[in-house]
Amino acid sequence: MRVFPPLPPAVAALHEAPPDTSVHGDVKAKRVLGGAVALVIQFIFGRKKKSSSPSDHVIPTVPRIKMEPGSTYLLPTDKPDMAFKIFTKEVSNGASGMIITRLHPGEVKARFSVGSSPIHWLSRAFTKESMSPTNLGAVAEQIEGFVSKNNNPLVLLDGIEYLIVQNDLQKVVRFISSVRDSVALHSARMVIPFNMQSVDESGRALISRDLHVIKWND
Amino acid sequence: MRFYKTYVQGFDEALGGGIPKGHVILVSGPPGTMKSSLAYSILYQNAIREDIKGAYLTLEQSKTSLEFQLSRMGMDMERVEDRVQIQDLSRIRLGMEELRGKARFGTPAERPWLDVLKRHIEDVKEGHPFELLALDSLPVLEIISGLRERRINLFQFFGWLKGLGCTSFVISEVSPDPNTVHDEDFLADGLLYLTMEKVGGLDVYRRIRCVKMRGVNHSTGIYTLEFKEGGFKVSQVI
Repeated sequence: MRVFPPLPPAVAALHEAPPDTSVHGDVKAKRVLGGAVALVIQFIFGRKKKSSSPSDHVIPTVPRIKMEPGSTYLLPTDKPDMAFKIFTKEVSNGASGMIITRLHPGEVKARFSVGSSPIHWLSRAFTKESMSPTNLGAVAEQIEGFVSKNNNPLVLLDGIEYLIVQNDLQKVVRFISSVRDSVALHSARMVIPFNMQSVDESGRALISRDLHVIKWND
Repeated sequence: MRFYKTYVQGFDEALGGGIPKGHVILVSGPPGTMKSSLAYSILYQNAIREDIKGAYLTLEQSKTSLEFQLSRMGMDMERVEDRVQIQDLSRIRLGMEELRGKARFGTPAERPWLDVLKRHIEDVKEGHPFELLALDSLPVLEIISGLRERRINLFQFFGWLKGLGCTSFVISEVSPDPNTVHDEDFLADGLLYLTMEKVGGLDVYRRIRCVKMRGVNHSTGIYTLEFKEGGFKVSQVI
């Protein structure tokens, strides 16, 4: 399992090269050094900032990860917003994106710059854009169809918690395993936001077993 | 060997390319599994895409009712009327049933029905040389023709169908018990089994499975069968 620790924002500014968190030796060394500098900067300026604006809250930055082709990433989070941010960033950099989500497509378009990416709504409603949450085979085929026909494909698969409620955990684990294979086969990339608290420890182990878990500060 | 595609998206791959020419295929399943629609769709799609002639013989549902059902599904019968003939034998059947009501099983009054039907199909084929035939349905045929020695009579009938030189789809109802095996299951060259399955406590999906297809290395897996945007498609079951 590969782990991608986020870089503090202050450290990111020190990097001249484009962000890349591939776990290589030189990057690791930079990180250690950068982390130390960041701690000093935070020590000097952090308190002052806090006292001047106590109501400020931390807006999480997009985890700086390099998404490798053929890989599926699990983003532990209780809201899918960060996954959408990662998705929109990648799409703006040229990825062909597709979204499968519990959010209504209208809401997705209003809140995120997803461009012309197709949006499939996991819902029991009878609409053109909806996909039945219990027809996991059809969802898997939608993903397979997309990743096999597009260049640099990226899939955002949101709503795993809903799928577990509508089906059962074992089925959803089989489903994730199936779509992960499609992603690997076609050198695509996939992000799955998931609330780790929605299942017990064994469920977490089953779901995350073959996925790259992104570590970040939610 | 010539193969006919079903044009059910994703299913021809599972069948290993399609259905061999000359096969008698049973399309079995409980009510509501879209057996008739699937059989007609195969004829319809082959007419449109391959210019292949077909004949659909209905013994139970009237032609008007069938056409209404198919047109509601988006199939334009006028588009293929020169290639796919729907033969409505339901009225003839009703007449024969009246006649049979006055006779006893096995008497000459009921026996001719099967001969009449065979002769009719041969006549249709002469004027409209079809390659694909759908017969809807086997249970009705059995009832009205009074097959006393079922397996022998079915064997003869399936043999006659093969002798026609076309590929036939015989629609059959089955009991909900999946372990029940029927004579026709052995006699047919291929068996497509349709069923419905409850999923997640609230949803019911149609499933399709190719139980057998002689001479073809096919998948025996179960697929979800859906009719979407004017055509059938299958997807894997997870």
